[in-house]
Amino acid sequence: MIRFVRGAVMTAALLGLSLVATGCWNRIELNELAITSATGIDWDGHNWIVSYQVLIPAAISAGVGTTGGGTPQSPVIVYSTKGKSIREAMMHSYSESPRKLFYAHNRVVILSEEVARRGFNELLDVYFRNSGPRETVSMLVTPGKARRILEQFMQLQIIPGEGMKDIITSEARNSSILPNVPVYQMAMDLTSDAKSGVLPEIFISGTEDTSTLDAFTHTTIPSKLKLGRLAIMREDHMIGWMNRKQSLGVSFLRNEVKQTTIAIPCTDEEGHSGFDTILIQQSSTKLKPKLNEGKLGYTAEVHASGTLSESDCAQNLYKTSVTQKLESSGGQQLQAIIDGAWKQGQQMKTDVFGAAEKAHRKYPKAWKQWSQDWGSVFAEAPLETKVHLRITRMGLSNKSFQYLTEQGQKKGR
Amino acid sequence: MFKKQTAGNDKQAGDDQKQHVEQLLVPDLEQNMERLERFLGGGADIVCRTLTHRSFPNQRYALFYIDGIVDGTAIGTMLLGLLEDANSQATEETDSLYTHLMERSIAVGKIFPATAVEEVGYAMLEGSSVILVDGSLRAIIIDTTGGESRSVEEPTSQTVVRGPKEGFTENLRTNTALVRRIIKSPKLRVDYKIVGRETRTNIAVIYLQGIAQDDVVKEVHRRIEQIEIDAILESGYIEEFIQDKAFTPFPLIQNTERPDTACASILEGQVVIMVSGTPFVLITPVTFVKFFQSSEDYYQRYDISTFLRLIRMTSFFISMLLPSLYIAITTFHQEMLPTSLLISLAAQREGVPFPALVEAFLMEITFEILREAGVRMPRIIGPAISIVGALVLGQAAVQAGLVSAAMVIVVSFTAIASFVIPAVNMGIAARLIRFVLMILAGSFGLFGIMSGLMVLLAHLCGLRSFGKPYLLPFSPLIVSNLKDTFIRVPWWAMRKRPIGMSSHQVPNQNRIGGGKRPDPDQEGA
Repeated sequence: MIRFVRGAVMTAALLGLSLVATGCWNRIELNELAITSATGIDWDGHNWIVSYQVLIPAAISAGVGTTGGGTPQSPVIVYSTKGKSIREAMMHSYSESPRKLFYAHNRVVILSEEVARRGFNELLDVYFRNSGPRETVSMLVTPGKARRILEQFMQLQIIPGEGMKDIITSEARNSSILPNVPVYQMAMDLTSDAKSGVLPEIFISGTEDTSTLDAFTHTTIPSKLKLGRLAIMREDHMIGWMNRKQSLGVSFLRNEVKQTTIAIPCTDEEGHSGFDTILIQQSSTKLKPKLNEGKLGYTAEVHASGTLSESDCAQNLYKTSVTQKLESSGGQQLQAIIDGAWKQGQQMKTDVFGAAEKAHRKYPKAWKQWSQDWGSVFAEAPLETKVHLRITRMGLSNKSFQYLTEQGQKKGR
Repeated sequence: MFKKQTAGNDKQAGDDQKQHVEQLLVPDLEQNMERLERFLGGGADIVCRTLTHRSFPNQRYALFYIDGIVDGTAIGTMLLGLLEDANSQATEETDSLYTHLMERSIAVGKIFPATAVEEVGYAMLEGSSVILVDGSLRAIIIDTTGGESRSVEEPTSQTVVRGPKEGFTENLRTNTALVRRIIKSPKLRVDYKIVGRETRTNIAVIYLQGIAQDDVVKEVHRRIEQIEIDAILESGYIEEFIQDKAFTPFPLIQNTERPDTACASILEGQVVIMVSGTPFVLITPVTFVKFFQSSEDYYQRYDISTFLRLIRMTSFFISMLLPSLYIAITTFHQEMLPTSLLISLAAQREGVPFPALVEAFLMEITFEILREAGVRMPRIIGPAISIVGALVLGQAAVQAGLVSAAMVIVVSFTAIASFVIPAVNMGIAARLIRFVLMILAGSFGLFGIMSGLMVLLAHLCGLRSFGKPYLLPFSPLIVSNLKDTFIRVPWWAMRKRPIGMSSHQVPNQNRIGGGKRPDPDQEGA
């Protein structure tokens, strides 16, 4: 009996001790974490400068920038560390931060244009090698210093990092001019056959910084974070920008358009000119390679449909001829946008449309030769664009107000 | 080690037996009376009344009973009858006084003869009255068992919204009657046993012949007969002696206060064990899912019953896992939380002095103390406890920054969830396992919880209740039994009794005739 009890007690004690002996290795309490919401990457010529936008949870959950006493407290704090490599720079943060940097909730990573032009393979490696940071983080490029972007406060959203992610996802969903490019997408694009990708630009619109909470005592804030152009990457470094119109064309060719709005110029019988606006709600693009006398060419077939969301010309939209005209002129405009993007891509000798992949799949034998100098092959490939735009709905009213008022005038005469 | 002990007990019991040489009754009334009084040790509650009969002037007889445990009315009627009879002339002179009394004059239904002093004494201790007759070697035992006992009331531990409101009482006879009143079948068997050297507690084993499995019934009898103990005060004693495995947090025998639950179990081929002196009857063999079923499930519509059973199962897991999941996720796997939740939790944790594990332990133990206080304290102090519990320990602890608000929510939700499980003993199992899982979560995170659950599952798979697998009908899988587990199909679809629990004889397995599904197109409907 005694032996049994002693055995049982010893077993229990040993098991209990073994639990304690783990020292709870990688256990970390919530109040030992420095939760980063955004990371900025700068390059000073010799060193990486990594900036972190770290959340102050107490300040955030206490309401917009205030704690119990009512003293405004910033919801985030920004600091930078410098190092020969990105991870070395991150290591130096231990010597200045009381808490351990925690990247799992990082939302965006901002590259300065300098870094983008230099190349950022190292960053992609860090993301794929370590389990902490997530590959779903959105990448953005900024002309100027990345750190300055992190320092800006944002309207409506307390956490600027999360706000930037929200802007880019909302933009990609609702106007589709700039794509949301997560790290994994960038990596896939850069390792694809075309070895090129795109990144959206973020910049500070306005001259002053919105980096103090005082700015929020006014209805207008001195500056805002804004999305701008499209940065074009080839073989891990940036080679140039495309403007927003070309960028929309890229979105169409990459088949990334979820919803967008185009304004089509129109003239009515009276000679009055205005714009018809179409909200494109559905669009699919098929980019197909073809061989024309041994020379590579492409056809892009776009099927888009949408709603008329604004009409400025005096048209009778009951007439099919009017809507057909509207559809064809809208289609022409889209075609112009798409062709413009293709031309710009060819000029940059950068295939950001995924055309290489398509050629490789359809003509695997010829690809071996094309891949030697894909840039030049691509630059010479003509694009034939066919756009089928369909206006599915006219909205709630069929006649434009312009039309109604002009009709009234005619009757009145 | 245990074997040695039982062997010793047997020997001791044998010795006791030897000392008790049967004392037979002698023809001399005075001597019998003296021996009986000596056997019972005298006492103010032992009543002795000597009487004479007109036809047998030379023979006296004595009525013995113990006051308080006999039915007063029955004694009164009987005495009245005896006195009336004593004054009348016996019709047939050849009758002896004993046969005369036995056959003509006692106004009570159940009487039987006895020849030994012990037999007479033990009968008296159970509430019988005894007539000792001068010149006779036999005594008459008259069943007048009665006395004060609680009436049939609504059960307090297992309440229902719809369903019978009767509950078992402490009186064994009332309890068997409650079952007999529901199952009026000649196949209902009620086997009586006496366990306990000193308490001589009556135990009834109830089952349906032909529907219960014979080997299970035999095994129940065998295990009860093997019990060697001085006293049985509650069915819990029996439960611990006869369950299949000693070291398990899970209950292997179900208990209920409700006659309808007991009867439903009997009808499914289970065996019910009633113990005198407690309203809680035991049901065996039993499976894991039975503990999540309430009798009301069969009275309410099947859709809501199914929903409620799923809720109960979820609650069981919540009450077992929620604190450990909270600890694991907030200290190991912060990346699993949505950002805004993480920020809110992190903000609450600012300034909390303890690690999440310690915090959880503090709150859980506080709650366990509160619950125990709620059960043990006098009813009148109830409101005081709830004020102290809710305000001081809940709100004030958070405001003082001792624990985070989220932890209070987790602990309270866990507590509420643990009350959803209809069987208290299964709720207790979840309560104990919770603490082990919390330590595992605090040491290894989700990995620890998973390994804990795997060990638990293996343990559950190995459990047996009277030889029946505990996880039946999931492991081994019996598809047709799934109709009454975490779901309940409508009554017309439950055509067969659960396979494996009830008898294998085919005609006995059918519960409901085919084609009983309500349908307006049916003839006669």
